[in-house]
Amino acid sequence: MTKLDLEFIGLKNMEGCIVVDGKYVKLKKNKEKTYSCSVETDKKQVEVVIYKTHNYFGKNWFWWNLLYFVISVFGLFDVRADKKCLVLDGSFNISTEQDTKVIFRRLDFEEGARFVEVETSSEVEELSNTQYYDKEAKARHKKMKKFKIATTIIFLALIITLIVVL
Amino acid sequence: MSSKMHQKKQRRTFLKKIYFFLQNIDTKIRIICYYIKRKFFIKEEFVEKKDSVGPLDKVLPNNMLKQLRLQRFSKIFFNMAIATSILVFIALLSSLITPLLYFFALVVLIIVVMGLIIFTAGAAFFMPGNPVGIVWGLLSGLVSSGESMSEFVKFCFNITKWISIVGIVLSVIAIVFLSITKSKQKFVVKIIVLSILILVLGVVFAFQMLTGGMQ
Repeated sequence: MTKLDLEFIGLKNMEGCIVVDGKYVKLKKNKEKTYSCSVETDKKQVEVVIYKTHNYFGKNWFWWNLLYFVISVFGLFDVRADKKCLVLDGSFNISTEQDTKVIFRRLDFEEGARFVEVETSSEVEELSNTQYYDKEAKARHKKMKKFKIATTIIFLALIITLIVVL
Repeated sequence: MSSKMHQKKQRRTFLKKIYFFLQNIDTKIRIICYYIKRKFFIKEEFVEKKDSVGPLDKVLPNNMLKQLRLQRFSKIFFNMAIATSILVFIALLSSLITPLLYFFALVVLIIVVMGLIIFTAGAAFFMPGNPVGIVWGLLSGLVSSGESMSEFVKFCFNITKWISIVGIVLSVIAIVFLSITKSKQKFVVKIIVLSILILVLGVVFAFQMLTGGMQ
């Protein structure tokens, strides 16, 4: 059984976005504001997926966002959405024939460029490593924003009219 | 004859003007229609084509989708639980402070009344007419507002009770969602915060039940 140590530098709020060998990993915050985790495996090669996306994915994106909007009391308690809709898409095959340490170092943003630099002594195969602002998601975000504003105004108007009438 | 010709010419120019006016309107309508078409129809087709090859078509794994959704739900409920706890504290604070405020208001009122009596006495003594009646009218209005303050205290206690019930329910929901999600960032901290929250809200609720006489 070999040990794979992963360290993430410059990648914030990536919890729930890192999958190693098909399983989500628990990250540990270090003193140097880096995140790390270690995985033990019998396989000779392990796939590491780093994926961060926006909330406007899937076919039913509108209905899901509407549900969040209603549950969070007109978006009052909702999570702040990423306006730019940044997508990070990385998938790497790392050979684990011996104990290895892999460092993922975040690179500056450049549309369509690599988002992370992999530093390790063992072999790494990059299946995908891109970062981009999703324009279509941005358009969906704008649409949703307009809808939310309109709904809130209508709701407030209804309440005011009800108060006035009663 | 010349006058008839002149009339005809005038008519022609008038008709020409109408014709050009209508043509102008027609071209404007055409331009508007073109813009509407470009804005709503042509662009849509373009977007659809773009969408079909765009990054949104990249299918995320099913468990990842579920994970993202659950994370968002847990965050929403956590925010709600925290907000309710803040509301409870505000309501509790206001219900505790209001009796003190009531006392201070009484002191201020007595001082104001004394000042006004002196002022009205002076005014009645020195000035012609009788402003005393008006001032006493104002004073009676101020005194009657004291009753509504005690009503406000009762209202605050009631509000605290109901908010604490909602807070407990929301905290439980948040804990359930947090336990479902596999991401455990600051999980322990969140659980501790929510447990303390439930405890505090429970204590407040019990306090409300015990001090039922206040309502």
